[in-house]
Amino acid sequence: MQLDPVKLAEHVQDATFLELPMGLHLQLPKILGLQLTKFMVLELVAAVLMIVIFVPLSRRMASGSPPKGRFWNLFEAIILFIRDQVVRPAIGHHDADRFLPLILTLFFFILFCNLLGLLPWLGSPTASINTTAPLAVVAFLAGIGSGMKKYGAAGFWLGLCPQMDLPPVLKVLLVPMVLVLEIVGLIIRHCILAVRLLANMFGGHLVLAMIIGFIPAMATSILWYGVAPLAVFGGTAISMLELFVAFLQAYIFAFLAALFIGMSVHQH
Amino acid sequence: MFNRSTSIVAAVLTLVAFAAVPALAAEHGSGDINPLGPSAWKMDLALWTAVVFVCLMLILAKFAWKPLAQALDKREHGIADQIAQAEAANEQAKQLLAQYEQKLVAARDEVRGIVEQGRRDAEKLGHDLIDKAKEEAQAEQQRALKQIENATGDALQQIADRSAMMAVELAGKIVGSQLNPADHKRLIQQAVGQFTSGQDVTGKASNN
Repeated sequence: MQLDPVKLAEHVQDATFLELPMGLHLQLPKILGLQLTKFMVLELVAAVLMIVIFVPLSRRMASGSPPKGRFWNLFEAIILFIRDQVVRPAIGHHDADRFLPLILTLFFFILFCNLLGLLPWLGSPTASINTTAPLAVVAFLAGIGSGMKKYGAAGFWLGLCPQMDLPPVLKVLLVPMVLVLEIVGLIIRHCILAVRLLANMFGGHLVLAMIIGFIPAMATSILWYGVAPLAVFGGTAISMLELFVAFLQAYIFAFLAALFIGMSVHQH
Repeated sequence: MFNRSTSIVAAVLTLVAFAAVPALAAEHGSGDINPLGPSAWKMDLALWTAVVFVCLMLILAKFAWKPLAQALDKREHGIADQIAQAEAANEQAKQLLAQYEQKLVAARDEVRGIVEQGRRDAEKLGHDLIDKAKEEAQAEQQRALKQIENATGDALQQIADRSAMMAVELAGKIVGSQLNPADHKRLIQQAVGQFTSGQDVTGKASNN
């Protein structure tokens, strides 16, 4: 194996095959002209996992019995945290419950996609802009959609400009400029939402691949005896950091999405 | 955890690893790995993601998040109701406790009053008994004195009667015989002696 960053990056990027143990590849088929890729399959896996976990969990909770077991308590604690510490403070108690399904789905979908990247031979779909950008677009559309529903289309976009107590002449000049800045800021905020998640997941996996890549790259050198143990130790440490980052980035994405939605539905 | 030699070995290994990086970087060229570069954008994956996410959200919203949020709300309301009931019961218990304490204080005061009254009654009864006993004793004493007075009166009456009889007898004797002064004196002494000894003067005198 070469320590070429392009070669290493292949392991954290999308592919038309699934990697299997022993260096085997499983070529993914084309369905109705659409070439399935690794990230598409992993997104489906994350979605199916969420359905398999949360639908039975909701039924157990709806039965009214008290939460039992680590599995149930773990997810219930996270759901309560997202509702009480993220969605309600960011959007406001009145509107929060309308957006709770969106934010919960965002959080757990990103979390599961992030965590899949920690399993051998798999990858993180969130390490691709093609995954994070649609998620940010969904948050963006939810924000401006609910804002326009509440204030009307013109009212929402004009309301992005803060109230300024200025003379009329200055107002005519400044308000359009500030309005443009606010609209651009709104779009950039959501772009950064996508890029932040992508960069964290892509960078983390690239560093991990780089560190582990030292081992085969140094196989013919005497330095291997020093590099290999350090790479294993470093890889373990970075993996643990990645585990934390997986939760952290999912939380940050969900929190900021809720915050942006809250800003849209409560302009002043 | 780590001793000094372990730290030194780790430091040496780190230096070796960092020394290897430039050599390898020089050996292999770098390519375009920019995740935001033009080659990174793939509309099919983006659309796939959007569709999968939206479908997932709709499915979960209907079958998971909505019942789950309702269950959480229901549980919260249940807990809030139970807490409210517990607080109400606690408040009621406090009021009952206050009432019972009040009653207890009243009962204690009542008991104290009863005991005090009893003590007073007992004292009064004692005093009454003592007074009555004193009165009875005094009455008894008076009765005894009266009896003594009566007895003394009877005795004096008897003495007076007997003295009269003796005087009559003595006068009869004096009248019946010529007395010289010496006899006169002797008779008087004899009569007085008989009177003091309680003997029958008539009989003695007749003997003399």
